[in-house]
Amino acid sequence: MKSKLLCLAFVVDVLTFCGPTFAHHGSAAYSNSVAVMKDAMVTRFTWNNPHCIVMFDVKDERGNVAHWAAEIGSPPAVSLLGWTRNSLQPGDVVTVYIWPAKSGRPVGRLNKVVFPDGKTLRDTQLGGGEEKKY
Amino acid sequence: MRNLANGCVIGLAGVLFFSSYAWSQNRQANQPIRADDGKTLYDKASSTGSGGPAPRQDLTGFWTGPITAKLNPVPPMTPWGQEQFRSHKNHSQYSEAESNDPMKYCDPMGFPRDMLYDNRGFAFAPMPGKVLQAFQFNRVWREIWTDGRELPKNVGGRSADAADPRWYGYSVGHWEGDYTFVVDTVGSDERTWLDSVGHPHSIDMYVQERYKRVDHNTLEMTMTIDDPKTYTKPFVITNARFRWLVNQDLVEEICVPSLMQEYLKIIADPAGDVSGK
Repeated sequence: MKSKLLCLAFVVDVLTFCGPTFAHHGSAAYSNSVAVMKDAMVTRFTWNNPHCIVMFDVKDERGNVAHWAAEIGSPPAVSLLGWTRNSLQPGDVVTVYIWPAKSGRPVGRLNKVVFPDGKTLRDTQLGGGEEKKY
Repeated sequence: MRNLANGCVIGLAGVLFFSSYAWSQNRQANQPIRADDGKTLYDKASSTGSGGPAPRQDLTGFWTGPITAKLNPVPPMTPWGQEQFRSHKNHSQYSEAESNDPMKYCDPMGFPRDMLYDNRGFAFAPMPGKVLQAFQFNRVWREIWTDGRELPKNVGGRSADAADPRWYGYSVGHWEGDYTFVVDTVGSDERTWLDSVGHPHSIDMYVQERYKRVDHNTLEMTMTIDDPKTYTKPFVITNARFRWLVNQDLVEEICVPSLMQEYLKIIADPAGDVSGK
């Protein structure tokens, strides 16, 4: 039951996309549908090669917290999309769009983050595919 | 908490509607990075026009790209080539945790993979008797001798004078006319992959690149592979186009082993964990 509730908190929406291709590393481990996680609290943001990593916590309505980690492109790649090493700070609350791992572990490939003011930072995988706009 | 998260994702899987599109399982072409407005990483470089006529016998400077690139299908492989290919687990068909792509360990991509990869740019820098080709990705370089020397023979062979295999091979270059620079390469270490799909090559591979400077800002490259131990016939593996980098300043992008290990630990290994969580 707890899991179901947490799922409801996590999965506000499910969107379908064409699976993107990633510039440097593979996509085989990830689902090709995007999950949306609201009120995700950033705990760490690494600005590293081969991939920057966004770590965040998601809490369900009972206060149970899941610790997630999502990869994005490399700094040179995502900087072209407006990211900087200071784009995310611990404590930031954002909405995370993510392709979760098929393994069921709480990791995935980020699609985008949306800030409360609507500002959006997308990952590089929007390139090269026939993604649907939403 | 892990179980909770796992349970959530398992539940999530139940409601995910999978796209009818398949993930790219055999990514061959380099994929341009696309910004929000739909422009690619290289649009800026592409929008600068010809820049005037190409200078004579000169490729000096930084080039970005590949702006456009197409990796052609490889011809049928020999039994030896097929055996090598079967042992290569690329990161399109396998999770990063399961893959044995040398890049997973920040091992050298070597030549010609560094030219067939999304390398994002390189420089030609002439020196006395040679031209250095320096790559943005990993900041590696190769030397292309232009002093008329011959390529070494029997690289990796058993004879006393046989040269050692090299990650980036042995290269010589010459001009054909004023605008086409031809580079011949042998001796690439066969531990490297030809491309990200994992196509193999042998130590006997011969590679020819033909760089044609169309105008000041445009460089076209065709690469031909001849490796009879691995492939049943020679083939043109790619035609790529590069553009003069406007600010002549390539960004730094290096595969750092310790950071790669962190990435594998945090992301790739759990993502590829099919052991029941």
